[in-house]
Formats: sequence, structure tokens, C-alpha cells
Amino acid sequence: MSGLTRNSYESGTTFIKTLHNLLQAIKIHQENNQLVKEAVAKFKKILIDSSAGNPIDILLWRGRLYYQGEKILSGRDVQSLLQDMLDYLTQRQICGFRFHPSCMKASSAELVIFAQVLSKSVGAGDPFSWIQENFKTYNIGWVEVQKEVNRDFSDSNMRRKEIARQTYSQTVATVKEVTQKVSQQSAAGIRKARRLAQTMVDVVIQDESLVLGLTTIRDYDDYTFTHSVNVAFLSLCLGRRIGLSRILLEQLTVCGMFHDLGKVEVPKNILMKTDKLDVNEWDLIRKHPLIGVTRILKMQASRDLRSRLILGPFEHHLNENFSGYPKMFFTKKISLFGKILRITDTYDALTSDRIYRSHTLSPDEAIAWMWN
Amino acid sequence: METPDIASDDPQLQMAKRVVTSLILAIKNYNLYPEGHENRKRSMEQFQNPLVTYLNRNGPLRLEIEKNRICFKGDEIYSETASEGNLPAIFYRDGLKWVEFQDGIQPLEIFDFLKLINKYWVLSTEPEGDLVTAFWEAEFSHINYLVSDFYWGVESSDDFKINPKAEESADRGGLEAGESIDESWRPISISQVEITPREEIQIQEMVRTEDERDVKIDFLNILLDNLIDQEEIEGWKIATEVIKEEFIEFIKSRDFKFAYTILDSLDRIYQKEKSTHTLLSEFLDDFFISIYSEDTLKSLGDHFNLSPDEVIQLKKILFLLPPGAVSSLAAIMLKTKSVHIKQICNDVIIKLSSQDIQPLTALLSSPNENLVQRLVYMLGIIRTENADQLLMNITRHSSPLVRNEAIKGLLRRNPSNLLKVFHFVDDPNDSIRRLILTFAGREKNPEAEKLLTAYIEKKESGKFEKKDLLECYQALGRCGTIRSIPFLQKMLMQPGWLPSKRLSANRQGAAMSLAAIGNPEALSVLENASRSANPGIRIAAGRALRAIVKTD
Repeated sequence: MSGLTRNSYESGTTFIKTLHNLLQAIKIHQENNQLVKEAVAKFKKILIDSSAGNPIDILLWRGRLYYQGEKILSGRDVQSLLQDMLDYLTQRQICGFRFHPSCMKASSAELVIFAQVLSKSVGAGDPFSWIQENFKTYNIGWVEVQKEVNRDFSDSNMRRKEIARQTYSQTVATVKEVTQKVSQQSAAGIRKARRLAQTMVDVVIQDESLVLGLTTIRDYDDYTFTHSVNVAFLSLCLGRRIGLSRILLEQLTVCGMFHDLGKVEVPKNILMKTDKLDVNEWDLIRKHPLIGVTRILKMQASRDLRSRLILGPFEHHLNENFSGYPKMFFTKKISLFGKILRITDTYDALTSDRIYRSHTLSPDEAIAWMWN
Repeated sequence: METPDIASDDPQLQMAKRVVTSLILAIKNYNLYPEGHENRKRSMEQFQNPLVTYLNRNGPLRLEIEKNRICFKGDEIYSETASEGNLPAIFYRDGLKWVEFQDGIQPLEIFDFLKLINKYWVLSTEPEGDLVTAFWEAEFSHINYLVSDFYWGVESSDDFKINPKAEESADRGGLEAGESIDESWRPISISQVEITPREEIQIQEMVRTEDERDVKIDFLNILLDNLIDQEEIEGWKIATEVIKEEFIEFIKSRDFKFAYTILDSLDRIYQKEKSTHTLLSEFLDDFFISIYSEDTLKSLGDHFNLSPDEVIQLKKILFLLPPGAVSSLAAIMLKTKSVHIKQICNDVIIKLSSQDIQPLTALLSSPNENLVQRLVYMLGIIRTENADQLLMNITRHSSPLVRNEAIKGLLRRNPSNLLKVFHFVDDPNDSIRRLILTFAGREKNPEAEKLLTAYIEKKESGKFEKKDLLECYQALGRCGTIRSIPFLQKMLMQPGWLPSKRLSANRQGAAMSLAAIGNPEALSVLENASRSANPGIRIAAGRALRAIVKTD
């Protein structure tokens, strides 16, 4: 059995931010400056909160920072800060720190000295040794600098990849299960879908590269289902990049999973047809957003959730100028979910094999085509 | 519930057990008592106190979940049998392996934690979520948990088959109908797709708007567009069912603006579809009937203290309803204790009945007197052709209240209706009689004068009650003119020396009337009568004159 804890990776980001803040403050200001005092106080608090009697490890490995063995996410808001820390450590030829449990008792003066020693070490010939000596001189015994990383984080990476793969396959199964229930006119709940969507959000927030590889999977027996899951993941990644909240990311992911639910009523021979479709067949295809809405309305979802879930599936074939389908009479604006799904749905379709195209588009080509 | 014997020399274990016991009690009391109840609040504190004490002394508290029991560092500290419906089973059901409380936990977190457990204690057959989805959304700062995925069964995570030659798909997902891909696309440079600072701001604004957005109106618009675009009855049925649910919720939550939007939009669709798409317009006809049922509108009755704006908005909604809504509104009007709603229903029924009186008429045969009385009142106001006739019919109603209201209505509509209803002066009900006489005597009126005079004359020769007769004379006095004086003089000056109830009543009444008329001719008759040799006449006239003096 594998499990997933509540996402504590955000603690890593917070820790690094606070440490970075302290190091920057010491670099620029005198130690009696108010900003330095505030930075010291914040770092002191986070040491106490994070340690709780255990050591704290910050390590640089293969160009990424790790906090307590977990890779620190490089979201847009912390990218430059993480790069700063990487440069800081690299300039000093060190790979990180281990804060011992006794760091909880470190005084403010000691924290200032810690930061000052690190700051000045960049001028030394052998910064690692210089730091060690000065820590000894000033009795800073609650922290060690690491010169080399004796750990291999591949295992934890493998574990995360395995979770991502499992999540992917479980999501395909769930989409299939719900689609079948819907086509049999049975009641369909979305508990499973939500659980999976939340897991997907956690995985992507941790490391989106884990899932982007999965979205290249194509299963031509179950094309619609893998396509739906790919769209869900791609939408989630796109949503995260633009800064949507966790709750909205979950809803967007569920939207992605079921955006093509309406295809359950389009005859398979039309979906799989290799020749050009005739007018009637296109009409049937164009109805699938409407059918999708009808199906979603029948799902066992609360009023609030349902309000969000139908937006994307209804709008994912509409362009900004309202060309596309279905036709709108009351709706005056396409929702953000609809826009995101339009992009990811098109992208996934373009990068899939098509009998009427001479070759499958690469990601660059797909983006270029969509751009033009 | 069983709590196992714990080694008394393990204080940490004891403390953990106390925390769990208090947690179980807090959950029970949360369920038993309403929000704000003292017991609920107290038991929450009784959970918080040992928990915080534990956390302060020992750091994080992790409770390990197994089926029907909770453990602490491998030792069982709480168990229950499945039939009792228990906390470990609920946690286990949703896949929680452990739950951990951390130092710094806030009362609000504890409250939310208990609230969620209570909410998801029982799951429906196909639920929307569970404890784990709720915990995830709540994003507790000081409560961690581990979830196992045993829940998912044994789905395989094998690689998917990829066999492009054998089973290529031409699925059209993602592209416009009929569109072919021009494969001579122009490559783009990185700089073209790099987000500019301005675009960054636009994106942030989009995201901020999305977070704060109320999706109600978008949802509604999609439902309505879906309704128009659909061609299947099943699709219409589902869309309208949801629209109706939304309408009911908006009425319940006083979101009258959106409720109005629904009806107005449906009306627009109906008008648009009427001529071209008879099937949908017929469907909407039936739908409108269902939307104004009492069941749909019943939450109206619970709204008190409406603001003036809300009153206007609500009336706007109700005015859109067809006249058939009258019966539902009437029922709500009767049941509600809200003065505002009563008045609104009243006004709307009047307006809708002006369009078509039939629904209101149908209600007049209701056995509920109170209802019929109110409706009759409204009928008296409604401008419609056959209202008079309807009211006349109702004047034969068995209930005096209803008859009273019908007569009032008739008189209100047209004072000359007095001629039609005057005969109710003989009604066994006092209030009806008084109504007729009061109306007759409200101002100088030759018609009323004639009616009263004729009535008194008729009464004079038959059975009568003195009180009733005097009331007639009083009324005559108020509406009478110089034309009545000869009659009154005749009644006052009737010969007869022997004491007689009839004579006395008529003389007294006539004298009162003359005094009330009060013109010089009337007064002259009184003065002459006051000098009559007949003591009965003299007394009656004298009293009347003295009454005038007193008034003066």
C-alpha cells in the first residue's frame, strides 16, 4: 500500500524563504537594524516550529533543493528565491545544512552570527572549512554545514513517480467507471473523482514533471478515457502555473476528467471513423457538450460543485470570439475553466496520432499551430 | 464503547486516552445540540483542554486508526463495536490511517474538525465527498493525516497498450467540426509566448476574479443555453428540473434578483420558441405550471422583515407568474405569519386576477371561510367585468363574514349597488344589517332616503325590534333631506293616546330623524310636536329638541 501525507512540502518553502530573508537582511543591513531583528525573530520561530525535537535537513542535490528529504517545489512565486539559494550555496561550495534539535534553543545573537559567518565565507579560499572554524569559535554547535550529500534522493523520487502513475491509472479507471454508470442511466457520485483530483493536485504541486510525462500516454482502446485524464492533468498544470487556488485546481481537474462525458452518447463508429464525417455525424459530435452537461447535472453533486463542473464541459469547444459550438444565447463570457480546457483539449488532440495527418504534432508544433 | 486497561505508569498513554474520550464525547454532543448551545461549546472545550495539555507536554499526538479502534503508539486506547456507529469506523471507512494533532492548534480548527466529522458521519449511496475530501479542502494548519489508497481496490497500473497501426482513432475531440489541420504552420519564437509583465497582471486579475466569482449567473446562463440548444425531451427535462431547483433555492435564500432572472429568461425563451419550436414551447408551458405550485413557492412564507427593495424585487418575480399561480399564492398568504408576504400575495393575486379572474373564482368555493373572505375582499377591488355578478352570488354565502365582505365589495365598487343589497337590512346577522344602514346613512342620498322610508313604512306594519327600527330612523336622519319630512312628521304625529311600543318607537325614531336632518322645516315640525296635547308626541319631540340643544 502506498499513501500520501498531507502536503507538508509547503513547510520547506516557508523555511527556505525565512532563511533566505535572514541571509539577505544580514548581507545588506547592520545587525541592530529593525529588518534584521525581524528576520532573526521569524527564523527563530520557524526553527522551533519545524524542529519539534528533530533535526532539520536542507540539502542541494542534482540542482534541486530538498527539505527533510522532499524536493522543494519551484512555483513561480519562489523560483528566483530558490535560484538565489542555489547560487548562495554553490558560491560557498556547500551542499546544505543540518540544524540539530538544539537549534530550538539558539539565541538571537547566535542566529545573527550564523548568518554573518555564512555571508563573509564567500571571500575565503576554502569556505566550508572557514565556516566550520568560525562556527566552532563562536560556539554555534546547533548547525552543521554539509559539503557533500551522502544520500541518494532517487528513492523518494521513484516513490513519487509511482504515486503519480498509480494516480493516473486510477483516474482512468474512475473516469471509465463513471462514464459507464452514466451511460447505463445509473446514479453516479463523484467522491472517487474528487479524491483522485485532490491527489493529483498534491502531486502536481509537489512536482509537475512527475505527471507531464504521463500525459503523453495514449491508449487507443480507451482513447476517450486517457484523453480525459490527460486533459485533466494538463489543465491542472496550467491552472497551477497561473496561480489558481487549491480548491479551484481540484474543481478544474474534475472538470477535465468529465469534459467529454457527453461522448458516451455519440456512436463509437462515428468517434472512430477514419473518413471525413458527414453533416449529420458532425451534428452528433457537436451535441456532446450538451449531453455532457445533462450527464453532469444528473450526478450526485452539491449545488455549488455542480455549478462549477458544468462550465468547462459546456464551453470547451468555444473560442474567445464565441465561434465553435454549442451556440450561446445567454452566456456572454467564457469562463476561465472553459478557456483552460479549450487549450488543453486541443493540445492533447493535436499531439495524438490522427489518421488524416501525416505525422503527430510535437508539443512545439502543437503550440505553434494553436498560436497561429 | 470500551476503553482498555492502560498501564497506570504510562502517563502519555493516559493523556492520549483522555483526549480520545473527550473527542468522542465532543462529537456526540456536537450532533445532539444545536449551534451555540452551551453543552456543545462546553464539550468542545473539554476536548481542547486535554489535547492542548498533551501537545504542550509531549509534542504532536498521533492517533492510529484501525477498524473499530484507535491506537496510540501501537497500544489500543479506544474501541467500539461496529453496530454502535463509531468514530474509528468512520475514519477507517474513508481510508484514514492516522490523524495527528500538532502544537498550536486553534479552537476554530477544532471546531471545523468536529463539524466535518459530524457532516460526514453518514454517507449517502453515491456521495459527493467524504472526510478526506473535506479535510483536504479545510487545509488544517495543525492537523495532519495519512490516507491509504486501499479504497481504490486493485486497479492495475500497467502500461497502456499503444498500437497505432491496428487501432488508430479518428476521435474529433478538441477541434472544430470540419476543420482540417494546415500542416504548414509557421513556427513561433520563445519571445512570442513569453508572458509580458502586462499579461502577468492580466492573468493575476483573471485568477483573482475567478477566486472571488459567484458562478451562479454563469451556471444559470449555461442551463438556459443548454435548454435552447437541446433537441431531446430528456435534456429539457433535466435542465428544467435543475432550473426549478435553483429557483427554489434563490427564493429560499432571498436571492430575488436571480430568481427573477430565471423567470424572465424562461419567458424570453418561451416567446422566442413559441412560433418556431412548438415542442419546446409546449414543454415550457407545462414547466411554468409546475414552477408556480405551492410546493415551489412555499418558502416565501418564511420571509420576515423584507426591505423595501426586496419587496419590489419579489413582486417583480410574482407578477411574472401566470394567473394560475393564484391558488398557490392564496395558500401561502393564509399560512404565513409574515405581514410583508401576506400583503405581497394580496397585491399579486389582485394583479394576476385582473388578467384572468377564473383561478380566483375557482377558489371561492373553498370551505376555508378565512380564505374566501380575503378573496372576496380582493374581488371587490379587481377591475373586471363580471365582478359585480360574482359578488352578488357570494352575498348568498352561508358565512356572515363572507356575505359582509361581498356586500362591502359591491358597495365599494359602486354606491348605487345599495339598491341591489338593501334587502340585507333584514339579514339575521347584526353586522350586515348595520353595514347596510351605515352605508345608507353615510351622506345625504335621495336613493337611500327612499329605500329607508319604504322600509320603515313596511316595517311599521309588521314585526319589529325597537332597536332595529330606531337604527333605521337614525340612518334616515343622516341621509334624509326635506323630502323625508312629511313622512317623518306623519310618523311622529300618529294619533293614539294609549301607550304602545310601536307608537313610542316610531315617534321616538321620527323625532330623532327630524333632529338629525336639522333644517328649519324639520325643527319646526319638532317644535310644533313638542306643544302637542298628546303626551307621547310631546315627550318624543321634547327629547329630540333637548338632544339638539345638548349637542349645540
